[in-house]
Amino acid sequence: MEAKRDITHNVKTNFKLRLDKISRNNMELRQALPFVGLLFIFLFFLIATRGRLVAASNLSNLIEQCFTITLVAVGASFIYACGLFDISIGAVMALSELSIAYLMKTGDTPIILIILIAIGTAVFCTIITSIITSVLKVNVFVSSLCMMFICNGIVTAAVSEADIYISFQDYKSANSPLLKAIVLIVMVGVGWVIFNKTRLGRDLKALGGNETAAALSGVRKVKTYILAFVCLGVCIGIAGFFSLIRVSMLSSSTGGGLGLNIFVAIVLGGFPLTGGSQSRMISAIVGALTLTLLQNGLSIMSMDPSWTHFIQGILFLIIVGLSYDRSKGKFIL
Amino acid sequence: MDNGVLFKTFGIYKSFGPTQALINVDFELRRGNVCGLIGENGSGKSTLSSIIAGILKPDKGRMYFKEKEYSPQSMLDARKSGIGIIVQEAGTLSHLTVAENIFVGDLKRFEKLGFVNEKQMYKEAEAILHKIGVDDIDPAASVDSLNFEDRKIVEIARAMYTNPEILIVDESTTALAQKGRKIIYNLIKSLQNENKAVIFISHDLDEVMYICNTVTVLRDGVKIQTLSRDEMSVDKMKKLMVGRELTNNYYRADYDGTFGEKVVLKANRITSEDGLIMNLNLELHEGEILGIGGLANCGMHELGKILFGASRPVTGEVIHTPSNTVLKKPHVAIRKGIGYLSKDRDHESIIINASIQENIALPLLDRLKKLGLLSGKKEKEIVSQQIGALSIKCISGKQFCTQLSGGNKQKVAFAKWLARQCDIFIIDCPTRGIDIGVKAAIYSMIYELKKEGKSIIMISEELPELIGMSDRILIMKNGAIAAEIPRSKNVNDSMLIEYMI
Amino acid sequence: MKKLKVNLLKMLKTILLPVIVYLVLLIATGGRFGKPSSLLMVFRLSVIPIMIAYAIGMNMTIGMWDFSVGGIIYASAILGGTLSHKTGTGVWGMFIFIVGIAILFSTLNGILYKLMKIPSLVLTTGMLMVYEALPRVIGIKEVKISISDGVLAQMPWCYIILFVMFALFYVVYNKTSLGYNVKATGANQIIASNAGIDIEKVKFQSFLFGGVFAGLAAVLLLSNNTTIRPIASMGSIHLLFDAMMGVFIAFFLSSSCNFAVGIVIGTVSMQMLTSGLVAMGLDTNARSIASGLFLLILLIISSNQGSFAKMVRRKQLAKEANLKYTEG
Repeated sequence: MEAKRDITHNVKTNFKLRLDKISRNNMELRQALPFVGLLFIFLFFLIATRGRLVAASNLSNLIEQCFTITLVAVGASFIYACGLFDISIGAVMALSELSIAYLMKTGDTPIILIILIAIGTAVFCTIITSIITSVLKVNVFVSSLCMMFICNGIVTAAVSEADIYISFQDYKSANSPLLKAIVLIVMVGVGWVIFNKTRLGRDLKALGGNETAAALSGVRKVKTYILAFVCLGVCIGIAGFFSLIRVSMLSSSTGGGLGLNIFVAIVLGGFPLTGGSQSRMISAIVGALTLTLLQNGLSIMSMDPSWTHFIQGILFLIIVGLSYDRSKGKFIL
Repeated sequence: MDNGVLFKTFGIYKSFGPTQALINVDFELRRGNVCGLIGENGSGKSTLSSIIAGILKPDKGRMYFKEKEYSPQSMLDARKSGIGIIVQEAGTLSHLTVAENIFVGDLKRFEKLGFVNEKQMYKEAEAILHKIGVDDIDPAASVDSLNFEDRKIVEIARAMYTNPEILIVDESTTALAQKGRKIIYNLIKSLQNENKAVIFISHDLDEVMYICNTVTVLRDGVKIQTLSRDEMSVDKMKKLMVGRELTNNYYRADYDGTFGEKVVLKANRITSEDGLIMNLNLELHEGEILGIGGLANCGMHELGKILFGASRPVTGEVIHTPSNTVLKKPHVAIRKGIGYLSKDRDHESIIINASIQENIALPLLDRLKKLGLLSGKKEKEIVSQQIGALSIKCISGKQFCTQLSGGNKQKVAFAKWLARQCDIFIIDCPTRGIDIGVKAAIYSMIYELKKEGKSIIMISEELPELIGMSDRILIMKNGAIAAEIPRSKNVNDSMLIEYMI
Repeated sequence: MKKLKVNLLKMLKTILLPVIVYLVLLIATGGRFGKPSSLLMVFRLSVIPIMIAYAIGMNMTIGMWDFSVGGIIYASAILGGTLSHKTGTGVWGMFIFIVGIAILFSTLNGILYKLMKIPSLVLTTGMLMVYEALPRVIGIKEVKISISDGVLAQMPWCYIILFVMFALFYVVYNKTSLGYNVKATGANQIIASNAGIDIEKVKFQSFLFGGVFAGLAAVLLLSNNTTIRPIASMGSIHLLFDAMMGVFIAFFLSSSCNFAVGIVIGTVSMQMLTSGLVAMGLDTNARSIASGLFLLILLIISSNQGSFAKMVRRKQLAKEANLKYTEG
């Protein structure tokens, strides 16, 4: 009897050890999965579109499409790293576009000034969100929700008479895919350096891991949160500028759904939603690229947009389902 | 009266990661018994009681309750079989009423045609509160309107409404004032009279002497001995708890309690937000180990936070004297070379879900710059140096702290401040829940620091540790310093306890 | 006697919010807003947001988000409406098909949540994309019902539905063990689970329960609009956000009034504000700005109630300490 129990116990412990090992391997697998997913989707569409995916005409398209989402995802990775969230991203981008749309209509303001105003507006909004969150202690979901309502309201009011059009000719030079590619690469580079090679990135990850312990190690919470939102604001502002030039109009639907798209991209890339130590900027970029490829690929295959969303949703759930860290078990919310 | 065995365990094993919390524990409880379960922090007494109460499951071993095999799946399961527990820090559910808190998880019993019969629920809640001797708590009131003490009483009612045959009291009395203690003592008496049984866990050996008629001693997860009423004495229990390993060379050997003249940290008339500390003055000198002790609710843990700038005092201020800076925030204190180790290691000292390297480097980031950017090389160097110096058991600095034992986590927490080369260390319960080996290492480290001329404030619940290490001991009571005791051979536990109560 | 006084005080506190909003608007519009007819209009416009607020109310009490609710409403309205059209079952067919499909979807949410163990926010965002696209994917371009079939959104039916659903939510939330368990789980999952509540089951039931209300909201939406086209790019999210405002206000009011009542008061107050601003001659778009600001102010107050009390306590304590010091 006793011996039998011992054997079952041993078997159990062995099994447990094996499980531990599997789960550790799992962690590596989980981290690798988004990359595999990206590669898979790339290859799939490469074959399915018979190479049209990488044709010159589509490459510039790809750059256009991935520009906004990748750039903003890089900015968003700063706030996601400390476990925060911002649903107002799209609305803030629309507002920053509005702030420069009138200036661009006349076309005699220096381009640098315009970019600065776009960035300034976006940063102003994100700073307010961060202050409401960190100083006034309102849940970030709610504070960004309110920010979204306010920005949306202003933009909708401004375009209620008619959509605002800007003259495309004056800013043609700023609409080249090459320029955008360069800007994107520079921004990703700068973002990577700030995220990995300065105090800010480390402090953010520490705050995501454990706010109290981080504060007791000298991390200044309010300052760090505000800086993170500033990074996001800068990216939104730049993205807004280029997107306004490309579309050359502003309507009430500008920026709609961008916040959630960023959320989808971040999760797709395997970025932990609670932030913390395992936050990596590359996850945000991989997620953004995956999303872009998916949308672009499906549209080349002249798939109905609703199918695109449908497939996107299911794929999103599959990738998250496979890569999500379930250590919280049933206590997840 | 039937004095038969009511409950028994055979060969209970339990481990948490690399730490063995219980090793082959046989435990026995007879009817009419109040059995004390004692041991130092980390000895496994709470683990054992949690297993009996269904909160944890043993890795191995069997339990028998009323001569039947017993393996509870949950706390509710255990409660239904007749074993209730009052835990140290369970807490109540806010926004809910008193009655809802008492019957949480078991509201089906009041269901009629799918609806919960509130009237009956409140009536039964009132009855159970009355039975444990409380008449001034309204069962329909929200728990948020109750004070800490009364919320604890609600928890007691939660454990009692099923009429348990075994009641486990896990260090609940330490947090309670007179009213709550009295209720628990009365409960224990009446259970004893009904020929039921109680498992009583406490740090307060005098209380154990007063309440229990047997006592079981655990040490490092192993059952050492069970003493009957005639064999029980505070001295004997203490000896058994601490074991032979605790000799004098464990602590520092000298009785030279001298330190520098220079004051490095000063608290002027500070009052804490919870009112536990009032108008307290304190001075820390260069090269001094200042021990601070007191009962659980004397405010000494809060004092540590205030000294580090992590809590804002209501009155007064904390001054770093060499630079004459008022310490208002942790980052200011850190810049002045002060390090702080919280009592709550897993939640406040280190980030569990981060690597050893990230933890150690966190307060140090401003010194790792090279051309304005963080230098990974420098970071790695400093971290591996600390890992070596403290002999932290790990695969590499990249390993996550979740996988470390308590002692190694504490070493990581220490390493943060050692790597920053702090001059002042404020350490709160530095050896809480840590095995003997690491304990000794930490003591010798503290002593080394003192000899280098660093200053240490050591807040501790363990009196031997205070006596063994401090140059000067401050005993806190009623929000103020009740006694100041210089280092000498003649200081002993009972002397300190005298000042505390 | 004392209890009565407390209850009266609570009631006063509860109706303070809508009354203040009403009075401010009444004065600001110089009496143009606030006639019984406009109040009735406000109430009618609140019916659908209230229904959606109930659909997410239980989940939000637990601490879960349901982003897919808008998607469920659109999908079930379109699919259910089409089915009733094809089967020629009229109003009742529409009612049953739509509610049934909504419950089916929310059950699917619940099952996937239990199986996948990923945060509800993530799961429901994914499901939102799926639900929104679903009608188009199976080839339905729009659903159109005759005005006579839209009877459920008209008086008195919309109020009957509102009343019945209010009663249902009130009873389940306050009087059944599901309601109690939901509140306990929301307060602290770990304690609740230790106390024997099967929190996975509670969460599943909460999803399911929300589905009933989402279904009713879909019925009312279709009856009201008579034509619904599939929506894309998370366009249904505004339905959710409007309802969320009501729930947040209900949480804000929860110390003085019941959650089920608080949702009605919160949603109606928001709706009143919107209509009032329009009556003030402000652009319809100012609505979004005003409601954002309004909610923000409410939540800043509620998040900082504790800090204010703390400040007072600190002052008192400091005084006490100083007194003690000068005495001794």
